[in-house]
Amino acid sequence: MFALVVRRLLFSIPVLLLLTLVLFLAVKLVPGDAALVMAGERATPEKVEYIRQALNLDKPWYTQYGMYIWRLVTDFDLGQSLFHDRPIADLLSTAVPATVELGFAALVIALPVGVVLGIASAVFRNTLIDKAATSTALAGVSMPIFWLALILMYVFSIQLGWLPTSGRMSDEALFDPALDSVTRMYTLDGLLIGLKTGEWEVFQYAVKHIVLPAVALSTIPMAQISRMTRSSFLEVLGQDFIRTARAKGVRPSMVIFKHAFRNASLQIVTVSMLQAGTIFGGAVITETMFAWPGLGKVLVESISSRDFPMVQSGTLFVGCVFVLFNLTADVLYGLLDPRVKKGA
Amino acid sequence: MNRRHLGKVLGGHFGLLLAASVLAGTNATFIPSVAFGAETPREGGVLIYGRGGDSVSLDPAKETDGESLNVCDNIFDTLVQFKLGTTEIEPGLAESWSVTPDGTSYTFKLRPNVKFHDGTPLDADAVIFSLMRQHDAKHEAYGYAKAWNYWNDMGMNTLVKAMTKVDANTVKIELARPEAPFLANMAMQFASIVSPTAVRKFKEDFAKNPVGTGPFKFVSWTKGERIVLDANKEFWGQKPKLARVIFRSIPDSSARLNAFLAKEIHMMNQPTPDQVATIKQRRPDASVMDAPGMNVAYLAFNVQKKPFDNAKVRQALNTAVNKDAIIKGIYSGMGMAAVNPIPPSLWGYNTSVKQYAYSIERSKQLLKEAGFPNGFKTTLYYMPVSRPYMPDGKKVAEAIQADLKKIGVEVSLSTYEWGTYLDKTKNGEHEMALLGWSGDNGDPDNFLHVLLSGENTKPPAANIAFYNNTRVTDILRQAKTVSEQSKRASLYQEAQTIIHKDAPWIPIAHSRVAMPMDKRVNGYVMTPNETRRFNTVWLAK
Repeated sequence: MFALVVRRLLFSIPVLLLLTLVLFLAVKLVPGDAALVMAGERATPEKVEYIRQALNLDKPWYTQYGMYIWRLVTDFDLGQSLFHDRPIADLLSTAVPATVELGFAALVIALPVGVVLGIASAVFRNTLIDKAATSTALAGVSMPIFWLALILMYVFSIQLGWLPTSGRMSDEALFDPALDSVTRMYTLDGLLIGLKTGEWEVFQYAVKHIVLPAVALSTIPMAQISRMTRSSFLEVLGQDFIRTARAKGVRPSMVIFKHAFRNASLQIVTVSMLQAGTIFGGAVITETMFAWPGLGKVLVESISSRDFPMVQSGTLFVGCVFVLFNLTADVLYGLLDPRVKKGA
Repeated sequence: MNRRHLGKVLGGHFGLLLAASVLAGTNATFIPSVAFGAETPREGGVLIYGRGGDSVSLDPAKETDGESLNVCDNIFDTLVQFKLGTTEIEPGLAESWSVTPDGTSYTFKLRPNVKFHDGTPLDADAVIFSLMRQHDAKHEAYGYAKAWNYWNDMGMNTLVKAMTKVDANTVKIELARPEAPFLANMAMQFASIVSPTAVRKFKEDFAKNPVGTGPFKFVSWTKGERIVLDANKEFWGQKPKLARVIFRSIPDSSARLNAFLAKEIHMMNQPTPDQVATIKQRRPDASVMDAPGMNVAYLAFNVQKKPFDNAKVRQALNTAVNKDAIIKGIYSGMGMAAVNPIPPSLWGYNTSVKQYAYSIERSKQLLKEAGFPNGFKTTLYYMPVSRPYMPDGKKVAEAIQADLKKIGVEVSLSTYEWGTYLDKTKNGEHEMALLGWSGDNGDPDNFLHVLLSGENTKPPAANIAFYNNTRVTDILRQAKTVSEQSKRASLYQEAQTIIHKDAPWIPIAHSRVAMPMDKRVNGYVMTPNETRRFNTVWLAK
């Protein structure tokens, strides 16, 4: 098991290196003088020159790339954001908890709902339940998130007035995130405060704010998970050992949850980890729509403000997240399927 | 806002109406909309202001973007300031000032007993510290910003020669040459006076922990979410009624609209014209103020290229463009047709200059007189990005293309990536190009000198018409050296008359800025330079 993890980790090094090169070249491909593009219409020559020097734009590209990698490897230096004039690591440290909190909430919805829907539609194949579940999944995949977000806001905030439209914390709360937040994840903060003082107001506000974005963000993963669960279940349910189990009188629930589930779970893990990678890599649209200042929003802002170092390092970070989830999937395979462990 | 709407809103909700509105027509002088309710202003309350982006930092000398500066508007003061709702200068932290007759030396007498939010006194040292940190590379705080953008953009780095403390409450600033707009520059946010004690304490991080003398004190900043300011009860000017102001960032404009409809925010920055219509329909209890933006969108002829070296041709094209249709169709009515290069909200605006009336026949006649009876072929560059003064460059270009076709001028359109676009136009590669300008200090010099003086025609040029009329250039130079405003105003008016006749541009539009607000918000004043200051605001129950 340990050897597997180490080997997968080593494999990810060339992957990440290649990613840095691709990102670097993609940024180079932006037309025009990069320094001028970043400085904008009111740029003074000094400012253009400053950017040119800060990014070493006066040197050949391979030198620039070499310097970038060298700093990254030796000092773990992600560089400086030009737009914010702050270390990129600093910016990521505030954005990542927001993304993790939202992503976790979305997975808490997507995973159980997706799996249950998938199993239900496989077990009750070609019934009304199956049709309802598959059309829910289809709707989930095809609905544009910005549209869904607006509909959710319209129904639950404007019409019903149950939930706030956007943001992470109520302006009425005495809790000031900048001063009082310990974990940068407000639901967790609220939970800690509640456990300590018995005062649950902060937790309630935080949960109310996370519901709509989490629901919006969960739709696509939920749909993907449910479709994958359905198809892998159908495959497993048609196999001989299931028939054998049924024939020897095992209870139907036992057949599904013990015999079939474990075998179908490999594919569920695969799709879940892929979806988790997408979610934790920053949900650009959901975050923008719900004013949730996570990783996706930071990245999009950096693109529109032409903050190239930020784009480069931010995307690299997202790449790392993907590699991490792929690794997790591999490890889970090993735990779930003894053949993988042995074959390794 | 048109008069009828304002009347309705104020008459319906606020009772007594004392000051009036911005006129929708051209040639109107900008009068701010101020409502004085019959109710007595209420003390306390939290105002929530919803906006499209977070601040970059809260050091007013470091940043140039509205979202940063609008928060700073409330935390800091300047030596002189714009009289609320106008571009006129009035005393700020300096209760008086004097200028030597040659216009090169300004002496500011500071208001006594003003304190920064950290309790330290405002004095001559603080003023010199705040300005010199942007000016002198050897200053202890010079290195705390990578570039003091606005100071340099406004040419202060070459203009200011020396700053001296005359006594504890008097500062003398000497200039390298007479430059009348200097005073207006000193009212801009970058010239804010900051607490030297706080800068020394926080160093680079002063930008995250701002300390000034303004009506509100900085409390907290949650990046990407909100900035909280509390009332400064010791403020030297009109004391704030609100207890607290929260600047909420809601980047998506539809989501911002929803937050306003759900009554989560009291004011909504930067609504689109469609959203203004939605708000009027869905929240009849809210009001929408609007004011002309301090900007201009224009089409510049490259007067160094044929056939645009001929003034008749330029006049003909001016006569052929239907600006009203552009305003209605592309600005969705949130704009006004431009006549002069400066917006009418600026002092010195020439109201006697009249629009080239839209007329195909007259235009054809002019073209014939110019020697192009059958028209000609040319190209028009249009902007690839949306700007406050030009919501959609491509659509504006297409409208102009269609208009000019009617007089036989075949226009082909082209555009480039934004950086390249600016580069090409500044170097005069275009025949005709669309561009615009947002004003900085409310001084006509900031439009006319920057965009149309012969001194700015050397590539990379800000004067992308490459218009070089010696008389105009002389007038604009002279207007910098006279300090009396009435004399300066008449010089600028003369320049506008000549520019109109020479027609180096087709001035297209000045966009308007709308601000929807909850009916409980009282006393808010829109300003031509788009500052946001909340010490006059109070919230009704």
